[in-house]
This record gives sequence, structure tokens and C-alpha cells, in this order.
Amino acid sequence: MRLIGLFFVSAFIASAQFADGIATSVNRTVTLTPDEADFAVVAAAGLDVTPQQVTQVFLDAGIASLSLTGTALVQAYDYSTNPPATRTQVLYQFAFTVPAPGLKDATNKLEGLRASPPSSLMSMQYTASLNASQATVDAMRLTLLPQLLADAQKKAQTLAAAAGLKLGAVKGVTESFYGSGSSVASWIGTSQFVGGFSSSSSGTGTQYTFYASVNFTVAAQ
Amino acid sequence: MRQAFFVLIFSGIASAQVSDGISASVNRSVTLTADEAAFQIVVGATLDGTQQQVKQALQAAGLPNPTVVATRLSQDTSSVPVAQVQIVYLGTVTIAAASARDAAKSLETLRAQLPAPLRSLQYSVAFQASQAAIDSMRLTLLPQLVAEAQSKAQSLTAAAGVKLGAIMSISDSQGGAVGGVLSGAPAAYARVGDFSGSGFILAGYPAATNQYTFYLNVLFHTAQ
Repeated sequence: MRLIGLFFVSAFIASAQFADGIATSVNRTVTLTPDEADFAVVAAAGLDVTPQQVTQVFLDAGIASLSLTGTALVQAYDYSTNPPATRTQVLYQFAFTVPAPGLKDATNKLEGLRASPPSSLMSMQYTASLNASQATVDAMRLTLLPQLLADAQKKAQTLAAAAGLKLGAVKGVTESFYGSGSSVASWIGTSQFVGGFSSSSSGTGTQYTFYASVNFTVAAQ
Repeated sequence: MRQAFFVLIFSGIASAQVSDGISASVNRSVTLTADEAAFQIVVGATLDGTQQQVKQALQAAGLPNPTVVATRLSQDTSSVPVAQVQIVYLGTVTIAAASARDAAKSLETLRAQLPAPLRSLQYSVAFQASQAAIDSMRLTLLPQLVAEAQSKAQSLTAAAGVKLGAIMSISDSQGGAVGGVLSGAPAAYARVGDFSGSGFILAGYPAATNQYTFYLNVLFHTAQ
């Protein structure tokens, strides 16, 4: 993530060079209120269990809007015997999003499944991260844009003064933003879970940096 | 190393561009005084806990108006026999560097006796230069950088047998703690907490730095 930030900054440095006029780049980092919780659930089932049956387990638990995002075939080892017994199982990865206030309710439903999983599931684990929705990000962008342009104008003014120039009108503007990513996922699961997915939960977190690069003309003295 | 590589690549791309006129790029690296301390506190709380309760606990510990957001779920493996699910909150607050020691002591006290619904706490502190200090240094350096660029361009025109004209374009930038993502030499940094039961990993190390490089690029017209 640092590299992405560096990429943006370097790109701005590069792009800010040698355009006619007075160029400035500014940025602001904000913490947005997380308004949605993104869940990822991985369930292990036997080869004779269908994806529909696995999905139904979660629907029956009250978890709606579930989407199947991945399937993997893995081999599990049971070390309670010598030599270890092996069994082949299918891992199903699901994702769903609920509004942030629904986090506890959804977690309790999953905890219920974890405490007493149905016979069709061998094991399960889940993770959740809280993120800012696109609407929240867009709203913050609209709030920050005037401030960023004011920052850029102020910065350009000092640059122009130092160079003995007079700041003219805005000639060009570019802007971008990126989320710093959600924190490392922590999986919550049954003890016998066999991993097969390395992905973490989705979402871009709540830390966002908004960038603007403004190019001003040089006014006649 | 990879970051340095990126900087070199982009610097190369940028400097390889040939524009009409005489271009001069100059930079100055300075070490700024770390006048603020950025605290990042990761708190694990029970599922019934609220963001407001976490904020109040941090405020009661003396941290002024911290920003607290829920980030994710985690498993509290210190709770036996069944590992409990907990919500991980991230608190951030920036205070004057001089107050950092007292704030850390307060957090240590809080960590020793966590009130419900808090289950675990760890924190880090990054000492860094404030935006005001960076802006102030920029204002100090800009005239020097402009003069330096002019001098550099002058020598270039002399070597090329042309005459230096007026400024066509100018831009400046700085590298350092830009958005907390660029770091030069890492400043004092520490993470304190109970790692046994939380399995926490901080959301990202604060990329604090007191080393700043200010860049200026100037393009001059050629005069007859």
C-alpha cells in the first residue's frame, strides 16, 4: 500500500513538471466513518454436498445477499491418527455486505453456525472488515474538492511570489483518491478448519487520501 | 529499497522529458523538528461494545478527542475455553510531541486495567513534523530554490550559447511524510501492547519521517 501511495506521489511529481504555468499538487488524508461491513465466509464441505446446499445453510441462518466468490478443492489431514488420515473437501468462499449497524447481528448468526455447524459443513471460518461505502467516499470528495483547490491556489501563490511571477487563472486540474486498505483480516473459525484461500476480506478501509494537481497560468505583470 | 527504486524510475522519466526552453530542477533536503506525536491505538472490544465507549475510554485516559472507527472483527484467543469474537477499533490522535510521554503513561495505565467492554489495547507513536512546520520550511526554502534554479539555468544557457529568458513554468513538490505514505529515514517508532490474545496487526505502520526533500522545477524561455 505504501508503494501505491508512492506511485501516486511520484506520478504527481512527474506530471507536475514542465507544464506551462505554475503547477501545484496538494492532498488531504481523512478518516471516513465506516458505514458498511464486508464479510467473507469460507465453508468446507464434503464432495457429495452441492454448492446450493452449502448456500442454503447460510440462508437458513438468516444471511441474505450471499454471493459465491470462490471454490477450491483441498486435502485435510487428521493428525489424531497415526499415520494421519486424509480427506478431500471443497472450500466455498462467500461474500456479503451489510450496513455497519448490522455487523453484530450478522456476526451473531455466524457465531451460531460456528458453535453448532450443520452436518453438511465440515468446518467454517469468517472475517469481516468495516469500510466506507462508495457513497461516503463520493460525498467526502465533494466536500474536500473546494478545500483542495483553495490549498492549491494558496500554495501556487507562494510559489509565484517566490519566483517573482503573478498567478493567473486555473489552466488545468486533475484529481484522484485512494483508500489505504482495510487492516489485515483475522479469520474466526472452527478449530478443524483447513485453509485454502489466502484472500483477505474486501474493502478499502476508512483512511482515504484525496489528491489534486492544479496548473495555473502565469498572469501578465 | 523498492521505494527508492520507484523514486529513481519516476525521476528518470520526469527528467528525461525534453521541453522547449531551459529547464532547471533543484532540490534541498532538510531535517525538520518533530513537533507532534501521532498516536495510533488498536483496541479490541466485546461485540456489545460501542465506538462511543472506546472513545470515552481513550478520552478518560487523557487523549484529546481521538478519532475512533471500527475496523474489523477479530478472535480473542485469550478468552478460554471458547475464543470470543471481538470488534477491533482503531483510534488516532495527534498531540504535541512534548505531551507524548504523559499520554503514553496514561495509555499504560489504561492498558493495565482495561474497563469493560475493552479487551485489549496496543498503541504506537510516531514523532513527526507538523504540516505547519513543513509549510513554514517550504516558504523559507522557496526563494533559495528559485535562486538556485536560476543560477543553474544561467550556467546551462552560458554553456549552450543562448540567453536566459523569463520563467515559462514552475512547480514544486516535497517528499517526506506526504499523506503518511512516503518515508525517508524512519523516526522513533514503537508499538506497545498485549499481543498474546488479540492476534492484532496494526493497520499500517505510521510512516513518520523528519527528513524532507523540497523539489523545484523551473522552465525558462530562451531569450535572443
